[in-house]
Amino acid sequence: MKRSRLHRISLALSLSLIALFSACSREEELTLDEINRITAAGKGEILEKTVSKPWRGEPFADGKVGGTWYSSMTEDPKSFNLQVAERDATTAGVVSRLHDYLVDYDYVRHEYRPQCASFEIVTDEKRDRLTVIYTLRDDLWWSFYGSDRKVKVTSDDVVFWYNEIEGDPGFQSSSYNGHFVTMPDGSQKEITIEKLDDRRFAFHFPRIVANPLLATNREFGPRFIYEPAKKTGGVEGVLALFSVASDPKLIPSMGTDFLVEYTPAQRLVFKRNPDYWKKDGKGVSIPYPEESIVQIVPDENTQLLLFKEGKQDSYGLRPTDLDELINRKNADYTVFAADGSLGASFWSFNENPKNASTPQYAWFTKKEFRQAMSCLLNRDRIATQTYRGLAEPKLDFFPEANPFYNPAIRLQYTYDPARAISLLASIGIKRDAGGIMRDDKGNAIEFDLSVVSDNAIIGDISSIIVDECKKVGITVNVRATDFQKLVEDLTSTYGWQSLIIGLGANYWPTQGSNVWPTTGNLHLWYPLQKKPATDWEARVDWLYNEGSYTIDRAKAARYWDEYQRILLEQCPLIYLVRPQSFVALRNRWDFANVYFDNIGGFEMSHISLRP
Amino acid sequence: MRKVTDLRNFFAGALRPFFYLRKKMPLATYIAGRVVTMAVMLFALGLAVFALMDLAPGDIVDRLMTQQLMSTEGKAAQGEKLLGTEQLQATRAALGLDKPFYVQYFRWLDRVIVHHDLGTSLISHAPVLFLIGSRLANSVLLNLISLVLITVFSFALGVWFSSKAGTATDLAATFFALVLHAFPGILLLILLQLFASVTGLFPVTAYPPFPFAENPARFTFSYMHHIVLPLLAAFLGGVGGTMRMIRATMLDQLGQPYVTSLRSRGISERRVYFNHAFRNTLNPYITGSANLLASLFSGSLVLEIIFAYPGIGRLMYEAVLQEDINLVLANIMFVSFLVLLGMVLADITLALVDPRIRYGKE
Repeated sequence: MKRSRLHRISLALSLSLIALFSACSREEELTLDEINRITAAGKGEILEKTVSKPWRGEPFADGKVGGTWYSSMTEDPKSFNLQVAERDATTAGVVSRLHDYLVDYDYVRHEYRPQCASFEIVTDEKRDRLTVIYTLRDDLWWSFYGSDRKVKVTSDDVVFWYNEIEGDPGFQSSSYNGHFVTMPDGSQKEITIEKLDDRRFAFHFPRIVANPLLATNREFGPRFIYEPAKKTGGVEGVLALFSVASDPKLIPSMGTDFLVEYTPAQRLVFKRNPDYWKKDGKGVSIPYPEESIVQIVPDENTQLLLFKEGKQDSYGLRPTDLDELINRKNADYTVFAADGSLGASFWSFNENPKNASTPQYAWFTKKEFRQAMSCLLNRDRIATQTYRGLAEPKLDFFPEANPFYNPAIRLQYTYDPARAISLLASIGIKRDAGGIMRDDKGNAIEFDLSVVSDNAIIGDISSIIVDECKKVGITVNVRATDFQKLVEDLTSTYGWQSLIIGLGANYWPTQGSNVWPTTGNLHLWYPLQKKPATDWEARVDWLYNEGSYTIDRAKAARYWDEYQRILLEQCPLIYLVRPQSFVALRNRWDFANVYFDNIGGFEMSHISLRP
Repeated sequence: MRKVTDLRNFFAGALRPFFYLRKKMPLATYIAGRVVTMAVMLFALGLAVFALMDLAPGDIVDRLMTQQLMSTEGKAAQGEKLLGTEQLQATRAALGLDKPFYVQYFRWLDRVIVHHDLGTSLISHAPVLFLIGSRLANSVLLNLISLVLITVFSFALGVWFSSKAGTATDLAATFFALVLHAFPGILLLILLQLFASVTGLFPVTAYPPFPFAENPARFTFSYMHHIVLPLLAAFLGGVGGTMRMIRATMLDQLGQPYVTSLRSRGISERRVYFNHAFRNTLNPYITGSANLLASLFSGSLVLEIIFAYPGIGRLMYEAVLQEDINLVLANIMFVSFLVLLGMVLADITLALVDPRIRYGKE
């Protein structure tokens, strides 16, 4: 009995071991060149199966009303209050469907166009004054779902919102700082607003600025609701309006949709607003889908599964989803591809003098060191390995969509390890006999690279950086950090050494007003400077200021060109790559009015069902 | 010495009513004592949560900075909306976040206990009660169903396998129970979701895509269909350990002299199992059921995220990430209260089930 049990156990063990070892096979590993070749071929295959349809200013065809649009979002909106929405991107996305902007920007023709208001810019160059006069459309209404009640949108709404909400310091509104311009003497003066009549109002600038429409374009809320709330409850009274506990049907809309239902953690339901002013050639207002149901699905993998099951109409593909979705047989959707994104993540080094006692500070504050790091950054390898070839190196500062983009201004410090070694040698950093890079004091060149812990792509990129630096004898230690901790390091403790992070694209040269000027709280490498720490930063400050207030385009271009050249020469931020983006759309929708590009994103404002 | 005696006499006098009640109504006194303990524990828990949130990097105002970092990319026509350092500090002061954590905590207690106001979310300004109430019912329902399923099947399987002790069936059951107990819950959830996606037999989410009010009957059936896989995950994750415990307790009881005595008197095996040995397995299970409930609540976060179930776990997770202290504290207090209440109920049930257990001096 004992022997037969022993026999059974030894037989089971043997079978398990055989199964284990047979599963371990030794395949030849691919070289980097082979990987690059396979990736290049694969990239072509992938792009062949996608549709490229950027918007080039085509007019929209008339569609038909009907259908339900199904989509999802990863978290609940925090509120339906326009003022609270400015603090949360998800909430802003929901609330913006109930409001509208004064003007819009045509990124193809590079010009502003009226949205719910037309505009006129009056400049007085002698007195250095500028006025923007807006005239609201006559067919704007605050409408209520399921009710005949309509309240006209007037300039009182805009004036109230500008002065009493954004302009009230009690709200701590992020729009408040935009109410001021810096005068030539360095003082701050307010941009005032004046009601001219029920439809017309004017913004008065105390000096001429380059982009007054950008500074004054805004959404606004209904005065007849927000004003009584402010009178009775003050700031808290306003912020408590239209919370997620309120009945969404009571929220008026002047935008494309009504919000008719919110079930916490489950879904939002929108219905089209037939009173919306924008109409097609047949006088039918957009949007065309009668209903839009947004499910709240926190997990992106679950969103993918829902899309595959046909329960969602669109899905933004991640690099890991490409293969599966593009090669799916009998797919009832089409994948659209856009060129590389306008913005890119970047690698930056801490130059805050708080860390002056560390050897890293001495290295990071030398431009040759930063330039050398740029020369060690293998962008092609990142594009190939991390993005499967579906990304482009970012070698410019302003993206192509920026009106002051200059294709001649490019980063001069691209991948070149030999040049990196030479640049380091010029500041006394050389390899010792063991191949380790050391500075003139004998310190081994070693520093930390902080990255966000839950981002696999950035994790891959950091591994490539570590590998490339190791080849020249530099040790980089990756520190995967919680994003909140990273923000704390950037904004208060300044205890980081180098990091990879992403900001938005500089669509306008003045964007990033808290990043590029030295006084900015997000001037990453050394924020909140009382006076510029270096000559080049002082020059960048001056150029930024001059460019912001120069309306002569040729003159402004000279300022912005120098601005870009300095930043690309000094390398305080070393941009990585611009990944391509992909979105899948169900074929039951008519693609005639659908566009997808890296500037406007997914344009589906006129989408309708196939006839 | 005299002072010590005086103090002793003072406390003895003050506590005399308590001792009297304990003698006359031991269970009621025990429950009252547990309620007081619960209140103290909740107080300490709240203080600990405030302290931990204070220790965690950043606060809700820093989250606004994070939003700025993430939202510098906007549409072409939209201007920048940036908060200056002074504004961030003013916001911090307005929310009371510049005060020490214990000051914030006592202010919170004052608002909740004295003014009966759980407050509003620091981010959304929505009533905390609304945010929690809408999801608590979902979580309680799911976890209670899980608990009932685990209990019923664990007892049934535990008792049955105890009768097969030493056989190949028992060996296989032990193996699978241990595998299930050790299997990572998150992996199980993902595998089940993949199973749903591949077969199409079940939905990949755990909640119907329409509200109850739209069609109550259809919602009920749809709900039952949607929670099959999440329940299966919770069940598989919990049944292994509980079944093994029941089996072990049964085997322990079956080895007791009183069972031998019962058998020698010709009592049937069925009666020995169910009328005698089985009753003694209830004690350890009842004691452990409160922990089981607590683990179900805490484990439901991953389930709620993966299966998009609108429960309190997700709300708590998002509140912690956003450092919304009002919401975090209210969530924790609710869930902790439920778990502690479960423990008290378990103790009461124990006293009712087992006549050997008495609360009091005897």
